[in-house]
Amino acid sequence: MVNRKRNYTLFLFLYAALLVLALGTFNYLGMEYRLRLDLTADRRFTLSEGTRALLDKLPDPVQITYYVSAEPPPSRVNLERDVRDKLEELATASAGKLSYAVVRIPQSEIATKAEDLKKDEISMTQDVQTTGEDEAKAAIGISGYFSSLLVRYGGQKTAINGVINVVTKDDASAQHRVESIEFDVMFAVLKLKSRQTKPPLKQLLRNMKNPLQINFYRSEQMPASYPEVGSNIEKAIERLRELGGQKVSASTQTIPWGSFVRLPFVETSEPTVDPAQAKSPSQPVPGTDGDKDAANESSEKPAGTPPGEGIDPEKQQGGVTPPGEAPPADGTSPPDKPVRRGPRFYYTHIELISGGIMTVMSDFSADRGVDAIVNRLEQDLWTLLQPRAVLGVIAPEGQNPMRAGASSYSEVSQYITGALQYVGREINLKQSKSIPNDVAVLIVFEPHLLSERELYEIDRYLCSGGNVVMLYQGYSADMRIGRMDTGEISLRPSEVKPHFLDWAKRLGISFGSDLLIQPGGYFMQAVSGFGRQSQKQPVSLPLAANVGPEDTDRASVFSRALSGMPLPFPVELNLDETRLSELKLQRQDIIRLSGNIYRFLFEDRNMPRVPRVGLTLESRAEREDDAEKTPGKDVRLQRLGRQPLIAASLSGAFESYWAGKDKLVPRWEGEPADNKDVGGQPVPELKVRPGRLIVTSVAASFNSDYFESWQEKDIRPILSGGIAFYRNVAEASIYGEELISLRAKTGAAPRITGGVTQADRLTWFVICLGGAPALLLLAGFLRGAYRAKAREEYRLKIEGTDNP
Amino acid sequence: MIAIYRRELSAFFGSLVGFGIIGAFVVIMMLLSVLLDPMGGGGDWFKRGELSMRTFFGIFPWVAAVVLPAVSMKLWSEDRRQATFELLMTLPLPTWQVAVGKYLAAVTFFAAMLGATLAFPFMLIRFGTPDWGPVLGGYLACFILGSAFIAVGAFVSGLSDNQALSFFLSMLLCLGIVGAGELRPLVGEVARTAPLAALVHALTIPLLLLAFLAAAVGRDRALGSTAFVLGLAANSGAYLWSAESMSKEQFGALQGAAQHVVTGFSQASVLEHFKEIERGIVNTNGLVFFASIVVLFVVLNVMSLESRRYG
Repeated sequence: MVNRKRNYTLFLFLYAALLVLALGTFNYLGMEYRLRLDLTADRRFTLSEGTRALLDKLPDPVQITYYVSAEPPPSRVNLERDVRDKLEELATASAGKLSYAVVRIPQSEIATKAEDLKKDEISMTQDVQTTGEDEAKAAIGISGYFSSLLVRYGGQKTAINGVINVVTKDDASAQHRVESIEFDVMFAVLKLKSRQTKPPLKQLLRNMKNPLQINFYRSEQMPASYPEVGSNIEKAIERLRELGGQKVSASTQTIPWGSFVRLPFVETSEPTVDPAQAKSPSQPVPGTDGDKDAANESSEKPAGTPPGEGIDPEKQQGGVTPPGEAPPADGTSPPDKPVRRGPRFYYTHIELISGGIMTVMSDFSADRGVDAIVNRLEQDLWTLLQPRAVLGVIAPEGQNPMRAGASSYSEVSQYITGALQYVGREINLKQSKSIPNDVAVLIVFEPHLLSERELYEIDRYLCSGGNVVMLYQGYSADMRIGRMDTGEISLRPSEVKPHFLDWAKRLGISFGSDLLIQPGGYFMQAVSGFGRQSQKQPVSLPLAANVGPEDTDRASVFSRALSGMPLPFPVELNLDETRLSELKLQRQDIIRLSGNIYRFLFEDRNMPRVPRVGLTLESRAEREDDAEKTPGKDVRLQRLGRQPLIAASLSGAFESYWAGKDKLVPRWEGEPADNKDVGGQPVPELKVRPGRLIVTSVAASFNSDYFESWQEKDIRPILSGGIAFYRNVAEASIYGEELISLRAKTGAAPRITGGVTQADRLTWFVICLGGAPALLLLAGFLRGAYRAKAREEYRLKIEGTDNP
Repeated sequence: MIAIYRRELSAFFGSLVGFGIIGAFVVIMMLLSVLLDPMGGGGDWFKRGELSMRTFFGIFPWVAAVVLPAVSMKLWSEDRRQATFELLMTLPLPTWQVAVGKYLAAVTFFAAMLGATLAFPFMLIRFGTPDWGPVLGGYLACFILGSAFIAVGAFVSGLSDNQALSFFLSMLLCLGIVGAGELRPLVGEVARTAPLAALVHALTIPLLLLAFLAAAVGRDRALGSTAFVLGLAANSGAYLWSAESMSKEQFGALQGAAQHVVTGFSQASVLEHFKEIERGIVNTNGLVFFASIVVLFVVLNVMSLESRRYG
């Protein structure tokens, strides 16, 4: 009996083991040949082909560490989960090539961790947003929180700080969001992959293609805390000169004691040292009341202005400090002789120039010693000399975009070459024969003015695999205030050469009724200054309005969304004075274009940046269906980040894209029959490769964050949004096909739109709880009815049987 | 089979216990997901402002692990108590049809339980435009996880005459299945520091569980006890082995092999698969995994019934 039982148990064991084996095999097959269905609205957990291809090709593993506060602000409670979701997706798709770890930082350790993580350039975000009183209470004591990704690849690392999941409507600063993690991470990996290792300093200097010029501007006076800084810099420059040999030349220019020049200066809390006294650095110079006055006067001046400007030189240079009035800081006896005190600023400005590109450094107060300064110079030199992409710029005749102030495009070009570290090059096709091969991206301002031959050259460049961004301006209008009084704006179509339209048409590009009012053409009332000093003044403003409802789902809107511009939207078609007053609108607030009336919303900071238009990329998560439901600034709005939008534009989601596929080699009517170009040189044979073309509005280069600094006398538009556009377009083009196929997607679940009242809360909670009883009652009722019916049928059946 | 299904279904809806289970389930779920949200760090759903049901789905595995054994506990124990078990077993039906009929009835009842929570999606519509993909995925995940739990509960119920005992054992088993997913970091740590132990665990624990189940089904306590003691000894002994007795390369190779255990463990984690579907991603391997659990426990249930029927 026992044996029989044992045998049966063993049989069961084997049977179960075989079953588990079979099921395990099924699971393995399910894993190997897995089908995946992303049910989210915009397939936000589906990685793009580009990401997959890139992950496949990566030779080294990618490690990501996500640093997140364990107790985040109330509005960010789901942040860790949302980021994990995305990272998990990346890790799953990478087949082991990408791994991630989450480091939760408790509030008690946040200060020490912040110090530790500084070396990895991990920083806290201060964006502690709260909605409502409860959240505000819960957020008390939270001054900042961690949400940063550290991406490690090939022995190098880079930080992506401030990854957030929900963005307020009027917050344009958040660059890294959950929805763009895929883009941000892969972009970081691409950058790390292409980053070159810096050679030793001597090798770097000796292998320079172009000579290096070092210009050093120094004050006579130096800070009391570090009086030898000037001489140390000179020694460091001398060391560079020795290492670089003939290729390095240096000059030093001394700025006289107390003088001011238009160069960045370094402020110091103590008076600077008299050059004569700098020889005895151990003796600091005491401050005086007179100094305080000068400092106060200086501090009232706007940032960026030398503190001595407009100050009485006598007062600034100081006079004689009576002995004993202010003892030395080190406690030593006051000097017997009167001490000359210096101003509280000094210059240590260095320019490194090579190959027409310049980098500058101004503050060496933290670089103690010659070695530290040499290291600093080495780093900046590497930034200057490392291989960089060339951006070619074509602008209308007479408007040199590469020269500061020469044209309205100068800001853009200067920023590209300066801050973004590209090599900018003006391409003049009237003089040069073709577009150089080393131009990574060609930016063309106002392409409708191009001649046939210029267009031909661009076409050839495009067909040989070039990347072209055309900023087209279809209309212009005069919107000076005198003209605006009537509320009628006359549009003037730009003069377009027909061959441009033909060319565009051949590529399948049609243009909406875009317009750009040139800087200075339109002005608005802007508030400048703060408090009592605030005043309204007219500000010239580049403006782009979209003209007809038919345009709202096209590239014109897209380009504005791209640069974060506010968009005017149709108000009503027939506005009369009565209706205007009802809407509390002024004539200046509206624009009548193509028979429709639009309202300008520049001063309305609460307006969503991507409004309710038929924008293809708009996702449910970011849409506000009913403006009436949004109670102003307290409502959070998610919207797509700029990078995915750009990636989407490049991926061909819009009609203004052409990849060069099936494109014939361009022909130009004026092309000589003997196959020679205008200079008599043979036209080189074109090796056709797919290029990339974006045609968008000039408006894309301007941004709604107009004003750089209120303190500046000349208020001018800040171009960050537009610059981001160029930067992203350029980088996407340079870094390859993988990047541009990243899709636009949202990161987190949609938010509640509109307010939630206490009554709503109570009602719906009761409904949720009462759902079950209601269902039970219904089920019970149906069951009772069914049974009663069955009983009745049975009774009738029985009765029928009994009484035939 | 349909007759069995209808009989069981009417038994579920014909008693107050059935309605009580639905009511309790809805109340617990709504209180936790709308008012308290313990998995998301605590807080009111309305104030959180996220137009999704992730708080609901987040707590579901834990609530289901406690509530669903109450549904499955009476599947067989009740028949034993009322002495209808013998009647069922003597019906001219294969055992599997009886078992599957009962199982499907329990699953249908569970579907009604989920249906009673549909007020939540309606609430989403009221407050905005939700993304329905994750909601649909979440309900699908809940349904298949719940179905797996019911299969586990049905099997345990078939082993015992005592409803309370089968409820308790099922609950422990379900909680263990859910909680095992949370052990991933621990398994990873073991694989890193004691790779041999990780490999021994990976090899012996499934076999041990199977042996234990077989012993339970075959009512062979001696074999069950032996398997338990041997398993315990092997798994404990693995930690006595010292890494110093191996070369660095050998240890590295062992660590590499143990990493596969971590990967395999992740694949076998109910919670991992559940979370994926609940996010709105339906994977064939997730579906196959849950289907495997259902098949395994339903088959074990049939085997245990047959052992009673014929043995």
